[in-house]
Amino acid sequence: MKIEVKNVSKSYRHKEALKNISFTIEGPKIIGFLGHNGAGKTTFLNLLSGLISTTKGNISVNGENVFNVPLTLRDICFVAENGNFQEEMTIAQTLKANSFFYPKWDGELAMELLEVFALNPKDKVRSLSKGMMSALGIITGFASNAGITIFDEPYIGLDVAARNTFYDLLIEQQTDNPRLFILSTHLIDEASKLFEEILILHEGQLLLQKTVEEWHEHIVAVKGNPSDVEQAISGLKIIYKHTFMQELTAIVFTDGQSIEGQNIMLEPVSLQDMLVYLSKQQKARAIK
Amino acid sequence: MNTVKGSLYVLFQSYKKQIITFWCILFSIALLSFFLDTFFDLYIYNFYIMISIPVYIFSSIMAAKLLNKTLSYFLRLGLSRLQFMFNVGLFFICWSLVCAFIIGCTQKILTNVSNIFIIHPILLFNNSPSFLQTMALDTVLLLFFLTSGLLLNIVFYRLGTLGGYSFIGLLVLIPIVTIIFRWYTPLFDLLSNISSFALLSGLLVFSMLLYSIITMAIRNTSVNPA
Repeated sequence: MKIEVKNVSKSYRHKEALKNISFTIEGPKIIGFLGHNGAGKTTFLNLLSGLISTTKGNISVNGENVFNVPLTLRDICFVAENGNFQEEMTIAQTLKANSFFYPKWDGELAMELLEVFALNPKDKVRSLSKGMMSALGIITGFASNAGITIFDEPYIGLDVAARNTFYDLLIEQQTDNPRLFILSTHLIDEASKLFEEILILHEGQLLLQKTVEEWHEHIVAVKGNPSDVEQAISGLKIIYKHTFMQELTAIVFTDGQSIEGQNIMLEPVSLQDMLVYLSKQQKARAIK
Repeated sequence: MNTVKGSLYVLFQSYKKQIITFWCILFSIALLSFFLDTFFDLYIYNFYIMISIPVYIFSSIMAAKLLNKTLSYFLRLGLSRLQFMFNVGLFFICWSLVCAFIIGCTQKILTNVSNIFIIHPILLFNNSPSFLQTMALDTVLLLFFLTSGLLLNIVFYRLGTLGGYSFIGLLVLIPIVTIIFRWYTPLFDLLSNISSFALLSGLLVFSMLLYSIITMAIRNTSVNPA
């Protein structure tokens, strides 16, 4: 599966949600699709699953456009935060309906997962709690066997045990039936170990796309005396800077360059911290 | 083919409760009318009921909520907008045929077992219509009302509340202008001279035209209503 995104922009009436983004994703792989609130993640996922059209640019899967092309859309399963199911239907009816639309639907797996998440097939979707609704979304995503399976905040309302079950299932599915999973979540620390590739959207633009191996080489926190740190990071792209007790911490993109200097320390940056820094940077800009 | 079956299944499941509730109420009213007519025959001179018109109204109301209720769901399941419209069109045809059949049967039974007079639009053209004629008119009228409901839905869906009510305002203007400029005389002349078959065919073609316009309007629409 190959997703090609070429110069895609999406504007709403008062806001430009995506600004001319271009990238390529190739699977099978588990992709972490990250960004703070309002970064444009859900807009992009909606575009990828053909729910909305681009204002400019093109998204294609294996060379075929996604918007209004049933052959391409059949191989994409998008489990969104909400609105995935018809409230009047029961769980059993929902799963039956899914079997008509996803050509590789695995009914047996769906039934197994119903037991795993303790869902009653006779329950109406309307009567489900948030967590149960999320569980039904997860079941749909896994049982669809779609070449591209997108989970957007798939575990809202799920407890830690159920979330761990989801992570285990994700690994199991990727081992048994490898495909392209795109996982968008705010619980980054929990999920970060699953990701094979990371995409971060920031203010409607693609901030970075890196494999996990590349991540530690490219994103570094430089700490030390302010003048020494400033000297060491000159010429590098700075994501965030802050001073505490006469110590300057700078989060930088090294882009493969080595950082050298006296009295400085280099530390890896976790995904979660990176998004916190991006968020702080955005807030600081807004205050200015 | 699977997606067609799936769409019909989902559409039926989505509307099942409303359909059952509506028909239960309508049958209760018909049954009550039958008992009143049978047991109070001496006190009631003539008993009139309508079956088809409530069905038309119910159908148009159901169609007027269809996009908000189902479009997003079907698009998430991987249907294109054209496929969605094709499947909804099939659902409308099934809905019209089944409802027309039920209306026809109910009318036939009631007229056979009681003296209730059933008001039906076909009486404007024919005083003793056959079952098939009644069913044909009901099917076409139901298709028309379903399409009109869907048209209203797409207008509100795409243009928002303001645009939707402006559209209704424009529709209300049409009869007012017709009365002011006395266009109704030639219209009535035309309708009284035209054969029922030509009228039905005209209405069917008009419904198809409306449906094509809706399909065009939905081609690039988003899952988020305006």
